[in-house]
Amino acid sequence: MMIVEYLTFFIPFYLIGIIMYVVRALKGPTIPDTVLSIDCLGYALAALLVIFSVYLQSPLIIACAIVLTLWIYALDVYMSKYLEKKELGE
Amino acid sequence: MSPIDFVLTVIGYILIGIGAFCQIVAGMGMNRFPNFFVRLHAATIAAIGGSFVPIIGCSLLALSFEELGDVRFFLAGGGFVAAVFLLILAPVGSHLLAKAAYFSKAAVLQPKVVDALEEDIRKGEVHE
Amino acid sequence: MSELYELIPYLVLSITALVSTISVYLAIIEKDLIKAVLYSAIQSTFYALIFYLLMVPDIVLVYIPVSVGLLPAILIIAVKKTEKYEDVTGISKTTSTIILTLVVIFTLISGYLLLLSHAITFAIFPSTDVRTLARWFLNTTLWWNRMFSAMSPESVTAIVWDYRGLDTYFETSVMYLAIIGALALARYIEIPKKVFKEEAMGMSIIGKMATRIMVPMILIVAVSIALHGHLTPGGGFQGGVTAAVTVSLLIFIFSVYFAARFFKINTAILLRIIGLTGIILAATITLIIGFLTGQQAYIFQNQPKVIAQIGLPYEIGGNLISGTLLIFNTSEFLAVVMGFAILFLLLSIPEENVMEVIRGEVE
Repeated sequence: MMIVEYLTFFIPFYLIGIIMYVVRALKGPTIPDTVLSIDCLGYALAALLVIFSVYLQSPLIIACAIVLTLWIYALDVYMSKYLEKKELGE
Repeated sequence: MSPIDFVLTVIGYILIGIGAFCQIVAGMGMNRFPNFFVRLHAATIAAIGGSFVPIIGCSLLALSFEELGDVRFFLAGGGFVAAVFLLILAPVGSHLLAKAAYFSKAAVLQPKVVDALEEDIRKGEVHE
Repeated sequence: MSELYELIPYLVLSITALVSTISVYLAIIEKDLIKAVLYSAIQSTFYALIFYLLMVPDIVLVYIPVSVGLLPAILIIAVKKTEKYEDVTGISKTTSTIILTLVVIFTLISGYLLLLSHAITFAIFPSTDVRTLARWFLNTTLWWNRMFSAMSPESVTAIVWDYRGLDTYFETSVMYLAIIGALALARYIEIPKKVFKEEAMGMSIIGKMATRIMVPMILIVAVSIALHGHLTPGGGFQGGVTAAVTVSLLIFIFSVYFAARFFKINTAILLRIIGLTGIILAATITLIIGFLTGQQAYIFQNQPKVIAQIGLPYEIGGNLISGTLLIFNTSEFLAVVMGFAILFLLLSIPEENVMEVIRGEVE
């Protein structure tokens, strides 16, 4: 048995965490709550992508995690710029 | 398996286990905390404990996983780059969001005992 | 243990499918448009995970930037310039609950059937069983036969830029036409000439400092995704949209006046034209060599074929460059990042300046 098979025990915990973030994102009374949970959701998904890259033994697909991290941050920036109620370009 | 590989594997699994624990804790906090500013604490645990730590663990695990061949260094390097990005970007994103939510009053500050920032703004020492 | 090992990806697939379906439904019925945008962002991140598990990293690298990043950005700008709430009487709460329950039941049944089919066939995930066409592509992209090969270990880039290069060329032309249209609509609108002030404009100092640190790193990652496009998943478009993050971060965190210090709209157009010229040159370079030497050659030809013996070198000094694929990826990177830079610059011009032009107050 290969060493990565033990990862099977850890992946369900990450899934439970992700589902809890989704519950908060869909429930979230205000917009900042939703954005914050999407934040956590995106970073947890980035971790899950790296774990699956090891788990499925396909190292070449790792670049997706980097790109996901970057764009989740960009979503944060857009939403806080929107909430600040200024012109978007200033 | 050489001793150094064994040590890397064990450390990697410990870090991934810490990540799994932090995900559960952050998920519970995200659902049970009363409002946005308290939930920021849960978001910190989710981003650093739940994502940064297991990505580092996975990179270490990949370094010791010899069946992959030389490509495992690509995996480990990509993982470390993703971890560094996350370490820098996640707190900054939370900060920008919290600042925007505070000044735009999109999220209510409840329960509030004392708000030093509000007093400073009233005195004119802090601007938006 | 080993059954669980094979079952985990299926479990993740069914959960992500269920959650993304629910969030799409909520995005459709939501009245607050900003929340609808965020729900669709949730759906996009989950779809990225599904595509990742189905082993299509090239699609993930396109899908994440376009649907998590660019689409919300453009929708948020649109909502900001118009109205936040949808003024339509929607369906009642009971109906929506019934529909949502039906959706959940349907997805659960589909997931159960998927698990059942897995239990019957004992398939390995990801499937090692490939069709004849896929086997042909996999075998002809590298080393199998010099006469058919595209000399690239990455079959997606080989297919996109070699096997069906003309198709990709026309896709690039469609995006070029869209940007020409945007420029034509905004023909008198210019970025106002203001001096950038560090403390009065943009977001907080922490955000500015982190962006100053991160922008070079993001650019390095983007360029490496683009230049390794013929070796690893990625390519010109994927690298270009990753680099477009830096442009949007510069505009949103500092200001459009700060971004206008580095590149004007005209410079961006010029660099984009250089990229497109590179694509056209790479497409016709074998044809030009064929005309000069009097041999037969084709447009979009990469490696020598049976009746056309002209081809570009597939390696330089032992490094695999896959002939025209490297030139295509570099040019596409330049064209895509400058295209998105133009769009972001045009969209972030303050509303007053745009309205002045539209009302005809400026000659």
